[in-house]
Amino acid sequence: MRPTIGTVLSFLAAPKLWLFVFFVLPMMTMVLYSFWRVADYQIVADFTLRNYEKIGGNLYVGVFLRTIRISIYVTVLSLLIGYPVAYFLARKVRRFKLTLLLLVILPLWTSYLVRTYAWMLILGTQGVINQSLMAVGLIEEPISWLLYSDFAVTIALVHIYMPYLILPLYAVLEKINPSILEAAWDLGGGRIRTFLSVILPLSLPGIATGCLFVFIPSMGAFVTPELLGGTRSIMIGSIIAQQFGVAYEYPFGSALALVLMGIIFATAAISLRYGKPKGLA
Amino acid sequence: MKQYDVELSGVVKRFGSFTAVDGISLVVERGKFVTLLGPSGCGKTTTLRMIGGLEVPDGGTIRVAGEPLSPDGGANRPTRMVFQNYALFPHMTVTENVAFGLRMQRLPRGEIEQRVNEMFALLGLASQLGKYPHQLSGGQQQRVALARALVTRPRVLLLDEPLGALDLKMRKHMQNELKRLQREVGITFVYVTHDQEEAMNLSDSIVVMDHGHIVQHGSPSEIYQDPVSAYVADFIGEANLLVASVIAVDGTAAVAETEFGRIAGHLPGDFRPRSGEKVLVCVRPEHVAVGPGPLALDFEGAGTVRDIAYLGGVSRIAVQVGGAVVRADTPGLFAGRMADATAFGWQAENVRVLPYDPRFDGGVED
Repeated sequence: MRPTIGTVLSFLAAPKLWLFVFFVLPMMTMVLYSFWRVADYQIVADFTLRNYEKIGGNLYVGVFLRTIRISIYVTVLSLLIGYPVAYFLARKVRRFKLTLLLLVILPLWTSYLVRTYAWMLILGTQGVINQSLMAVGLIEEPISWLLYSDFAVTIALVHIYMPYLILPLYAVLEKINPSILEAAWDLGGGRIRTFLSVILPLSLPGIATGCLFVFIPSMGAFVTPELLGGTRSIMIGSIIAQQFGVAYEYPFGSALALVLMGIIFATAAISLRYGKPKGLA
Repeated sequence: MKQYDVELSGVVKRFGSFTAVDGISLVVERGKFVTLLGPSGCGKTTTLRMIGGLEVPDGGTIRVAGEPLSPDGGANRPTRMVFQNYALFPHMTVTENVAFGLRMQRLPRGEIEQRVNEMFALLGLASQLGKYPHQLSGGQQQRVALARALVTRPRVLLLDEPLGALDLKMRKHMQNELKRLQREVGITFVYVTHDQEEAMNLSDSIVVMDHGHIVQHGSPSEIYQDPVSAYVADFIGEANLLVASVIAVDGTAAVAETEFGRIAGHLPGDFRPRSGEKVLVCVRPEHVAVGPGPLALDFEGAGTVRDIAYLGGVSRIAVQVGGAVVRADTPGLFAGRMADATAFGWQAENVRVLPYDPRFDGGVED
């Protein structure tokens, strides 16, 4: 029996309601808020573009640019480290494959916060690296830029988000038909040329998805930059969080969040558009 | 002097504890179409892959075009492979696929273009150039795979069940295409299939394999007319295989006793059984006559019609003789009916007396 429109709709009603209450309504509220303003610690519901004009100023454009720059560093580093890992797991390992995959996922079972604090222990002036280097006499005094710097934020974000890049990339690399690589070898393709002209293009969808999975949360990160970043390496996530906290500037925070979302949507659209190899249906 | 493009000597390949290829030796003459034939697991594909350098043998030597096979690959290897599932590069157009091997050889752009176009003309691909593999039919993908391998002008083309994925009609068509292609390019083809009809149709010679061994190597007619074993007789075409014991041997002639009488036949190769030895008597169904006796043949027996199958050109009759069943092909419609008593028989020149093989004891049931 074919289900009637009525039954289909009633089945969909619950999830639709859920989405409406917890997604559509909050989003609409944010959009509204972003055109409102705060006066005497009260949100005033009149229409103003002041919030967006403020974002256009040098200060916030700078923070956005730094956020994008750090997110790009994180994404590129994750790709450079994660691609060989995914390739190794997908195509080279036979035994212990599941165990090794588990090791990739394992860090995700520990709280984000704990992993961030762990980096403080490693990078701090009293941290493992500085103390070891001083103990062997390579340096006289602690390297100061290890912690509370863009460097610290980047390296911690790479550590935290890289599994999200490895997994989709692994899935794509594992699906490549081995006889295609044999054909490339048979036709005289060496390792490098086979990689560049066959494996890399075929893994493009995995690269695009994996990079998005790292880039998007990096753009929105605020706990890690807050804890590991220096005073000058503030990222937009922290500023947005402040607007909804101590600053009590919901309208300005909403506007910032919407601009951030816009940037992320644009990035996602571009990478999904160009992140598929030609000729694949 | 004959020139050999492929020479295998004592080649062994093991996968763990499984011996896929167990010491085979084989030479393939230049410009011939040779087929490795056998059921899955007989070692034919492994042998082909070793010739192609995709597997490294555990023992023995392989020479291709007179040179020992080098394991390093490279663009100037003497062989190219056509893979079972075509293994086309899905992200490249037809042109890019075909040009791949030439690009690896770092040929100048102009020459690549010219040679790719020659291939397109040879294989009738001219209208497909800009398409991607998934936009092509199975037969067209097959042609692209052939073009991609042949354009590099290999000494030996290796084909691993290349027609396996095509439907019957397309397969027949591509068989003829392959024959034409091999004649036109004139290079050695080594072909792997489990389809005996395909092997008969295409090959200059057939190598029948079983459990990692070569059991017989000869022209299609030799293999069909003078199989050396029940395995070969059964694999190539249809065969009645009747258990018998040897009574007398004289040169290549032998007489053996079956449960329904004495049968005379010929011995293959150097097989000379002792008197009393258990053997299998082999007669092809098309050599068995059925009908009301007497038939005036070297051997005649009597049985009951158990089954009649009309196959178009011939009718296949199963005759029950004691515990055995003898199948006979007679042209056109069969005049008799089920359960009729009938005579059957054959000429001694069509009978082969083959070594006993327990796999074929009790005849071959369809």
